[in-house]
Amino acid sequence: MIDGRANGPSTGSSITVDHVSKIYGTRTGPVDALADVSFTIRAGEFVSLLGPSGCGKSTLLRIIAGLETPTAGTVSIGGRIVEGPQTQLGIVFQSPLLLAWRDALGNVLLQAEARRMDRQKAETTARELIASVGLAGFEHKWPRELSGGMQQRLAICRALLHDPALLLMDEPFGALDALTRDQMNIDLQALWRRGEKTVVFVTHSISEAVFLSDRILVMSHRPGRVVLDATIALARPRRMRMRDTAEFTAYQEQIRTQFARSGVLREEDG
Amino acid sequence: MNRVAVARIGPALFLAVAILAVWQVGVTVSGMPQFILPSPLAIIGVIAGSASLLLRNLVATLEEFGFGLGASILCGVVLGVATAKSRTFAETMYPLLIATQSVPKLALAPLFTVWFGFGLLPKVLIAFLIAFFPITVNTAAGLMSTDPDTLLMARSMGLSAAQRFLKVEVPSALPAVFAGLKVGTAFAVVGAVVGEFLGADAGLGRVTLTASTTLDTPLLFAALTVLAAVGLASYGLVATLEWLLIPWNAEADETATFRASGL
Repeated sequence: MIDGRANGPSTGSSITVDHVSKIYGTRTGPVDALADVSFTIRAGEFVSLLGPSGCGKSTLLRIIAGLETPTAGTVSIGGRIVEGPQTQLGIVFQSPLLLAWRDALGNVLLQAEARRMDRQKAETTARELIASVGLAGFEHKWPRELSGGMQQRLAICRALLHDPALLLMDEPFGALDALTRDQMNIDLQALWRRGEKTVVFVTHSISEAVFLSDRILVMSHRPGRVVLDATIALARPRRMRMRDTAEFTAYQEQIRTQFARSGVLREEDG
Repeated sequence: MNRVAVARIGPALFLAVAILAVWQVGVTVSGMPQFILPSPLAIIGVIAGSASLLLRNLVATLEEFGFGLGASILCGVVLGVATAKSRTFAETMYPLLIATQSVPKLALAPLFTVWFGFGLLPKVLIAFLIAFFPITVNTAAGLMSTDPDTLLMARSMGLSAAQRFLKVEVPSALPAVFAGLKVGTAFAVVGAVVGEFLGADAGLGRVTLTASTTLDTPLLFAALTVLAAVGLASYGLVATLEWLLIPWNAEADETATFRASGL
C-alpha cells in the first residue's frame, strides 16, 4: 500500500492543541469561536469532540486540518506545527461532497490524482476499500444514483485511499437516518480497528461519541472550550447492545450532567 | 434512448402538425390570397420548386452563421473564464462588454458594410457580436457558482489551483456553459440574417428581403421555414453534444436555458 504519511514510521499521528483561540470578524462585530483550547491526542486514539451546535468543534477540526488559522495558539501533528492545509491526512465532511461527473470509483481515485499515486495500485486499493464498505459492484454508479449513506461511505473510502495516519471527521453521519447512522458507526469502528489511525470525530450525539471513542472532549457553548475530558473504558469491539448496559448509560449520564451544568441541556425541575 | 427520444419530440411534432393542419384548412376554406398568407402546401411547393435557389442562399447564411458562432464560442468562453478567474478583468473589461450589448447591432450593420463591404465579414461580425455575450455570461456564472464546500474539499486534498479548475470548476460549469451555447447559437442565426438585411448579395435573409419587397409571400415563407429549420437543427446539435458531454445529468435542464437567455 502506498505510504502517504509525512510522519515517518509511526503508526497514527499524535496531535497537540496548544492554547488555541479563534476569533472571527463578522459584519456585526468579532465572534469568539474558540477560547484557549488545549489538549493532546495520542497516536492511534479515537477521540470525539462533542458539543452543541456553534460551539466551535468544526472550527477546531478545520484548524487541525490547516484549513483555517488560529487567532492564537498552535496545533502540532506528529510534532510538526500545522501551517497550511495538511494534505497528508484524510478528511470526511458533513456532506459527501462527491463530484457528480465522476462515478464512484472515479471519486475515490480523486485522492490518488491529488497525490500522483501509482494509478494501478491506487485503483486496486480503491476497489478494496469500496468493497470493504459494502459497495462492491457500485464502482461505476453516478453519485446521484446512490443513497446518502452510500455516498458518505464513498467519501470515507476517498479519505482513506492514501492510508493516512490521521482521519478527521466532521459530523459525517449527521445527515443520515438513525438506522443508517448506527450501521455506519459499526462499520467505522471496524474500519478503525483494522488500521492504527488516529481519528478525531466531531459529533453532537452523546451516544455516538460514547460508542465510538476512547476519549471524549466535551465542549461548551461558544466561545468553545473543553469542559470535560472523559476516558471511555468500554471493551472493544463495542456492540450496539452495549448501549443498554449500565456502564454505557453511566458515561452518557456523566456527559449529560456536564451539559446541564454548562447550560447546554436545560430541563424543567419536577 | 430511441423510445425516450420519440417520447420527447412526439408532443411537439403532434402540435406542429396540428397547427399546420388548422392553417391549411383555414387558408383553403377562407380563400385567402397567397400574397397575404400562403398555405403550408403552397410553401412546400415553393421550397421544392426553388430548391436550388434556397440551397445556394442557405449555404451563404450557414457560412456567416458558422464563422460567427465559432468566433463567439471561442471568445465567449475565454472571456467567461477571464471574468470568473480574474477580479481585475471582471472589474475593468466586463462593464465595457455589458455596454457593447446595449448598442443595437442593426445600427452598426450599415457601418460595417461601409467598412467591410457586402461580403462575408460584416455578417460574421454581427452574428459574433450578438452571440458571444450570453456565452460569456453563462460561462462566468457557471464557473463562479462552483460549490464552495466541494472546492474546500478539493483544497484539503492538496489539489493545486489548476487541478481544481480542471477537475472541479470546469465540469461543474458545463451545464451553464451549454445553456449559454444554446442561446448563443439561436442569436447567431438571427445575427447572420440581420446582417444580410442591410447589404448582402446572398443569403436567406436577402431572399426574405427581396421576396417581401416583391410581395412574393410564398417565397418569403419558404425562406423563413428553412431558417427555422436551421435554428432547430443547430439547437439540436448543441443539445446532442450536451447529452454526450454531460452524461451525469438525468435530463437536460431547459429551465437553465430560459434563464440564460435573459428574457
